[in-house]
Amino acid sequence: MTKLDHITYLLDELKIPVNDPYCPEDWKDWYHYIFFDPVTQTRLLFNISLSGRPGNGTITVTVFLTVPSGFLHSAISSFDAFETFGFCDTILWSDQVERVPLMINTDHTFFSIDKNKVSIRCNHPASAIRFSVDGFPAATPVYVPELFPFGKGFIGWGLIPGMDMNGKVFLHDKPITISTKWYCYHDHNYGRFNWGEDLGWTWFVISVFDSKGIKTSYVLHQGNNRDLTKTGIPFLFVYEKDMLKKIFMGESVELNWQWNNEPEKPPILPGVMASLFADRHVAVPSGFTVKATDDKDYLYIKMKRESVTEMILPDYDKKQYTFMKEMNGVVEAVQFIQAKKKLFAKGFCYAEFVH
Amino acid sequence: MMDWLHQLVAIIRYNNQFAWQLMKEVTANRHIVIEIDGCRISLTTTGQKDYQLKTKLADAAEQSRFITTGDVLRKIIDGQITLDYAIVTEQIYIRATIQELISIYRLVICLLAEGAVNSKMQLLWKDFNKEWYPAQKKISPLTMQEQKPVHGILISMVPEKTLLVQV
Repeated sequence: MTKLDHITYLLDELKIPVNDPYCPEDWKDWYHYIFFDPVTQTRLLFNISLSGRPGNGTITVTVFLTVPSGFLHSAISSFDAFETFGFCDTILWSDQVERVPLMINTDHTFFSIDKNKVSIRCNHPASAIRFSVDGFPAATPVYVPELFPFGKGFIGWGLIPGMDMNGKVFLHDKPITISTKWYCYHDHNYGRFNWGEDLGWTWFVISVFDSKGIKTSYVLHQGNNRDLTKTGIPFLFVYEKDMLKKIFMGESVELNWQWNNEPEKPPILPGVMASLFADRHVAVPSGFTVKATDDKDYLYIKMKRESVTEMILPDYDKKQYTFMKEMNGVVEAVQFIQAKKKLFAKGFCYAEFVH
Repeated sequence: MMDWLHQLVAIIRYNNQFAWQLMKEVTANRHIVIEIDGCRISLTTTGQKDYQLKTKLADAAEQSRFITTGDVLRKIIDGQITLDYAIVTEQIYIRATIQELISIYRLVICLLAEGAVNSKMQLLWKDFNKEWYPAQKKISPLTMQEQKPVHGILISMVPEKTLLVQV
């Protein structure tokens, strides 16, 4: 693995100019972590998002915890059915954020990145979720300061699709241990735009293991408008054993969504949005395929969606919404990269479709 | 609680003209006693032109026309139940005509929408959450899959024979 501390620092530094009293209110900066246990398929999503500036901005913490059905109240009979717990809390941004080292301290959450060490503490009694995890980057960081036009502004991001993290999660006092055997993904996103503009993106991370236990991961990002009639340049990163092995981009990547015929009513966060949008059925993807090919290499991925939840993000200023479908699914993949063919029968996928 | 109600009216008045007009339309020239966790408050409003809310502790002789608990209000905000579900399952007791119920529903939805994007409303809600009778100490968390709003429950409570009556 190649760990480049200066890249990691650049990737994870807070981009919002918090000390500028004239900092525009449409600045956004968010840190995203996904933890996945390949054995039980248990997964935890943690997202901390800053919007605007101290004084009139907001800090939002979002947590989804998906466990095998029966984990909480009875015995687990299979690892085929899952249930999700979660919360989304928004608070006003006053003095909770320190820039260097990065530290965000809210009522329920402590988040810090100090010399690459990541620490997350969270205790949310209302949803009976608490956890504490610490760790370091393991995979090669990739910083994509695209700064390309996005809505009325721009967006940039960086990713570390492999972290060595250890810790404990408690759901209503029932413990789950996170160890370095889990797959942990991290990215940091930032930019200037308003939720509810004609913008969105498709993003996913996929974790697969071959028969020898060698870890491969795929990460894709592609911008889109709200009705998917326009798409941006896709990037598809291929990692093996936490090393960046290949990047497919542009026209060499073809992403196709499959949609359910019947509209569904996915669970919604934050709760108040579930009340507001209670009578709304929406089209949701049933899966996707990705074909990436160039002169030398080839990759095909097929994802079947298992669960979907929806985040609805309001814009304080414009009073409009962006809709974010958060999906879990299973994947099959075939790759022929650097003259070596690999087949993956079952992997894990976490995907976002934003519009 | 009385202070919070006055703050709510002030926030709506200066932040959302649509909600403000709707609030006046639905609540002007009214008198009601509400009861939350046993705390009974009398609310009286003046006319639309010089709209004012007056609050005081309710007299013992006056009947409450709206009864609920802080936890039910929290459940609605948290998306665990919808307003109509709370009414039908008697987690909210309310005496009103169907027209009044529809108007109240419109107003509550409007306030929920404003609360999602208005920092002053969020501060007010945070205050309520912190200061009002706290939620049950030991909760049994619901899965997000259990977040299933039920619709048409009002009409499904009407017996079929009644629905088939020809007027």
